[in-house]
Amino acid sequence: MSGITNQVGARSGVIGSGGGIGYEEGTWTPTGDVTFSGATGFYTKIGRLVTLSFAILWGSDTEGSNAQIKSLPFTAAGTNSRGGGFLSYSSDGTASSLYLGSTTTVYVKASAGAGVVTNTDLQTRDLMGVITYITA
Amino acid sequence: MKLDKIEVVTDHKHLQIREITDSGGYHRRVLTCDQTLADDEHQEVKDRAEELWTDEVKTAWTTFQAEQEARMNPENT
Repeated sequence: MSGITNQVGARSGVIGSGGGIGYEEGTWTPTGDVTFSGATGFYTKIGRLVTLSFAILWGSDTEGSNAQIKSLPFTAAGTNSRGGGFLSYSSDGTASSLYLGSTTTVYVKASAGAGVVTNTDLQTRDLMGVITYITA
Repeated sequence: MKLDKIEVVTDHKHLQIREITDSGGYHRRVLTCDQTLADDEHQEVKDRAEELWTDEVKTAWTTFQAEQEARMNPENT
Protein backbone atom coordinates (compact mmCIF):
# COMPACT_ATOMS: atom_id res chain seq x y z
CA MET A 1 0.00 0.00 0.00
CA SER A 2 1.27 3.48 -0.67
CA GLY A 3 -0.03 7.00 -0.37
CA ILE A 4 -0.90 9.45 2.37
CA THR A 5 -3.88 9.47 4.66
CA ASN A 6 -6.39 12.09 3.62
CA GLN A 7 -9.14 11.75 6.15
CA VAL A 8 -10.37 15.02 7.58
CA GLY A 9 -8.88 15.54 10.99
CA ALA A 10 -6.20 12.88 10.53
CA ARG A 11 -3.54 13.57 13.14
CA SER A 12 -0.73 11.45 11.83
CA GLY A 13 0.08 8.35 9.95
CA VAL A 14 2.72 6.52 8.03
CA ILE A 15 1.58 4.73 4.93
CA GLY A 16 3.63 2.20 3.09
CA SER A 17 5.66 -0.72 4.26
CA GLY A 18 9.09 0.05 5.62
CA GLY A 19 9.95 3.73 5.78
CA GLY A 20 6.89 5.41 4.31
CA ILE A 21 6.15 9.11 4.32
CA GLY A 22 5.16 10.53 7.69
CA TYR A 23 2.12 12.81 7.80
CA GLU A 24 0.98 15.10 10.58
CA GLU A 25 -1.25 18.11 10.92
CA GLY A 26 -2.11 20.32 13.84
CA THR A 27 -2.00 23.82 15.27
CA TRP A 28 0.71 26.23 16.44
CA THR A 29 0.61 29.61 18.12
CA PRO A 30 2.85 32.30 16.60
CA THR A 31 4.70 34.57 19.02
CA GLY A 32 7.05 37.53 18.56
CA ASP A 33 9.21 39.97 20.46
CA VAL A 34 6.04 41.94 21.04
CA THR A 35 2.92 40.40 22.49
CA PHE A 36 0.51 39.64 19.68
CA SER A 37 -3.05 40.74 20.26
CA GLY A 38 -4.20 37.57 18.52
CA ALA A 39 -2.47 34.67 16.79
CA THR A 40 -3.54 31.34 15.35
CA GLY A 41 -1.73 28.89 13.11
CA PHE A 42 -2.08 25.54 11.40
CA TYR A 43 0.53 23.16 10.01
CA THR A 44 0.70 20.17 7.73
CA LYS A 45 3.90 18.15 7.63
CA ILE A 46 4.60 15.55 4.96
CA GLY A 47 7.94 13.88 5.31
CA ARG A 48 10.40 16.63 6.25
CA LEU A 49 8.48 19.37 4.45
CA VAL A 50 6.14 21.44 6.61
CA THR A 51 3.71 24.13 5.49
CA LEU A 52 2.36 26.61 8.02
CA SER A 53 -0.49 29.06 7.75
CA PHE A 54 -1.18 31.79 10.26
CA ALA A 55 -3.18 34.87 11.16
CA ILE A 56 -1.65 37.47 13.50
CA LEU A 57 -2.91 40.71 14.96
CA TRP A 58 0.39 42.45 15.72
CA GLY A 59 0.84 44.05 19.12
CA SER A 60 1.80 47.60 20.00
CA ASP A 61 5.44 48.60 19.84
CA THR A 62 7.53 51.75 19.81
CA GLU A 63 11.06 50.32 20.03
CA GLY A 64 11.42 49.49 16.35
CA SER A 65 13.12 46.11 16.62
CA ASN A 66 12.93 43.61 13.75
CA ALA A 67 9.52 42.07 13.15
CA GLN A 68 9.82 38.36 13.83
CA ILE A 69 7.52 35.38 13.95
CA LYS A 70 8.61 32.74 16.45
CA SER A 71 7.34 29.57 18.09
CA LEU A 72 7.36 27.71 14.81
CA PRO A 73 6.03 24.18 15.27
CA PHE A 74 9.25 22.57 13.97
CA THR A 75 12.91 23.57 13.88
CA ALA A 76 14.09 24.32 10.35
CA ALA A 77 16.98 22.34 8.88
CA GLY A 78 18.82 25.58 8.19
CA THR A 79 18.17 29.17 7.23
CA ASN A 80 17.09 31.04 4.06
CA SER A 81 17.78 28.30 1.49
CA ARG A 82 15.64 25.83 3.43
CA GLY A 83 12.39 27.73 3.14
CA GLY A 84 10.46 30.98 3.34
CA GLY A 85 7.02 32.34 2.80
CA PHE A 86 4.71 35.15 1.82
CA LEU A 87 1.91 37.21 3.25
CA SER A 88 -1.46 36.56 1.68
CA TYR A 89 -2.87 39.60 3.47
CA SER A 90 -1.38 42.55 5.32
CA SER A 91 -3.32 45.55 6.52
CA ASP A 92 0.08 47.25 6.76
CA GLY A 93 0.18 47.35 2.98
CA THR A 94 3.96 47.18 2.75
CA ALA A 95 5.04 43.87 4.27
CA SER A 96 4.88 40.94 1.89
CA SER A 97 7.83 38.58 2.25
CA LEU A 98 8.73 36.11 4.98
CA TYR A 99 12.40 35.22 5.38
CA LEU A 100 13.62 32.18 7.27
CA GLY A 101 16.35 34.06 9.11
CA SER A 102 17.04 31.46 11.77
CA THR A 103 16.16 27.84 12.40
CA THR A 104 13.35 28.95 14.69
CA THR A 105 12.48 32.44 13.47
CA VAL A 106 10.90 34.03 10.41
CA TYR A 107 11.48 37.72 9.67
CA VAL A 108 8.91 39.94 7.97
CA LYS A 109 10.19 41.95 5.01
CA ALA A 110 8.65 44.52 2.71
CA SER A 111 9.75 42.47 -0.30
CA ALA A 112 12.20 39.70 -1.11
CA GLY A 113 14.99 42.19 -1.71
CA ALA A 114 14.11 44.68 1.00
CA GLY A 115 15.13 44.98 4.62
CA VAL A 116 13.22 43.68 7.60
CA VAL A 117 10.25 45.75 8.70
CA THR A 118 9.97 46.63 12.36
CA ASN A 119 7.48 45.82 15.06
CA THR A 120 6.56 49.48 15.06
CA ASP A 121 5.73 49.31 11.34
CA LEU A 122 3.37 46.44 11.99
CA GLN A 123 1.79 47.44 15.27
CA THR A 124 -1.97 46.78 15.43
CA ARG A 125 -1.84 45.39 11.86
CA ASP A 126 -3.41 42.16 10.63
CA LEU A 127 -1.15 39.70 8.86
CA MET A 128 -1.99 36.38 7.25
CA GLY A 129 0.43 34.19 5.41
CA VAL A 130 2.05 30.89 4.54
CA ILE A 131 5.51 29.55 5.41
CA THR A 132 7.11 26.41 3.99
CA TYR A 133 10.44 24.87 5.01
CA ILE A 134 12.41 21.69 5.43
CA THR A 135 12.55 20.53 9.02
CA ALA A 136 15.67 19.44 10.91
CA MET B 1 -2.99 20.41 26.92
CA LYS B 2 -1.48 17.00 27.48
CA LEU B 3 2.20 16.50 26.75
CA ASP B 4 2.60 13.89 24.01
CA LYS B 5 6.22 14.03 22.89
CA ILE B 6 9.50 15.88 23.43
CA GLU B 7 12.00 15.80 20.58
CA VAL B 8 15.54 17.17 20.99
CA VAL B 9 16.60 18.82 17.74
CA THR B 10 19.98 20.12 16.47
CA ASP B 11 23.17 20.79 18.43
CA HIS B 12 21.38 23.74 19.99
CA LYS B 13 19.14 21.30 21.86
CA HIS B 14 15.83 22.78 20.85
CA LEU B 15 12.96 21.05 22.58
CA GLN B 16 10.31 20.31 20.00
CA ILE B 17 7.10 19.80 21.94
CA ARG B 18 4.00 18.01 20.72
CA GLU B 19 0.87 18.28 22.84
CA ILE B 20 -2.64 16.95 22.45
CA THR B 21 -5.42 19.49 22.65
CA ASP B 22 -8.74 19.01 24.38
CA SER B 23 -10.28 18.31 20.98
CA GLY B 24 -7.76 15.54 20.32
CA GLY B 25 -5.61 17.32 17.73
CA TYR B 26 -1.93 18.08 17.86
CA HIS B 27 -0.41 21.40 18.95
CA ARG B 28 3.30 22.05 18.46
CA ARG B 29 5.93 24.51 19.61
CA VAL B 30 9.71 24.70 19.82
CA LEU B 31 11.54 25.88 22.92
CA THR B 32 15.05 27.30 22.64
CA CYS B 33 17.69 27.52 25.36
CA ASP B 34 17.44 31.32 25.63
CA GLN B 35 13.85 31.07 26.76
CA THR B 36 12.58 31.22 30.31
CA LEU B 37 10.10 28.44 30.82
CA ALA B 38 6.71 29.32 32.21
CA ASP B 39 5.87 28.29 35.75
CA ASP B 40 3.08 26.08 34.42
CA GLU B 41 5.32 24.34 31.89
CA HIS B 42 5.21 20.53 31.93
CA GLN B 43 7.62 19.22 34.56
CA GLU B 44 9.12 16.77 32.05
CA VAL B 45 9.94 19.68 29.75
CA LYS B 46 11.53 21.58 32.63
CA ASP B 47 13.63 18.54 33.50
CA ARG B 48 14.87 18.08 29.91
CA ALA B 49 15.73 21.77 29.67
CA GLU B 50 17.65 21.63 32.93
CA GLU B 51 19.54 18.59 31.68
CA LEU B 52 20.33 19.77 28.14
CA TRP B 53 20.59 23.55 28.20
CA THR B 54 24.16 23.82 29.45
CA ASP B 55 26.16 27.05 29.37
CA GLU B 56 28.02 25.67 26.34
CA VAL B 57 24.77 25.10 24.46
CA LYS B 58 23.46 28.55 25.41
CA THR B 59 26.66 30.23 24.24
CA ALA B 60 26.61 28.37 20.93
CA TRP B 61 22.97 29.36 20.34
CA THR B 62 23.64 33.00 21.20
CA THR B 63 26.56 33.07 18.75
CA PHE B 64 24.48 31.41 16.02
CA GLN B 65 21.63 33.86 16.50
CA ALA B 66 23.99 36.85 16.36
CA GLU B 67 25.42 35.57 13.09
CA GLN B 68 21.96 35.17 11.60
CA GLU B 69 20.88 38.61 12.83
CA ALA B 70 23.97 40.16 11.22
CA ARG B 71 23.01 38.56 7.92
CA MET B 72 19.61 40.19 8.17
CA ASN B 73 21.18 43.59 8.74
CA PRO B 74 24.47 43.52 6.78
CA GLU B 75 24.88 47.28 7.08
CA ASN B 76 25.44 46.79 10.80
CA THR B 77 28.36 44.39 10.38
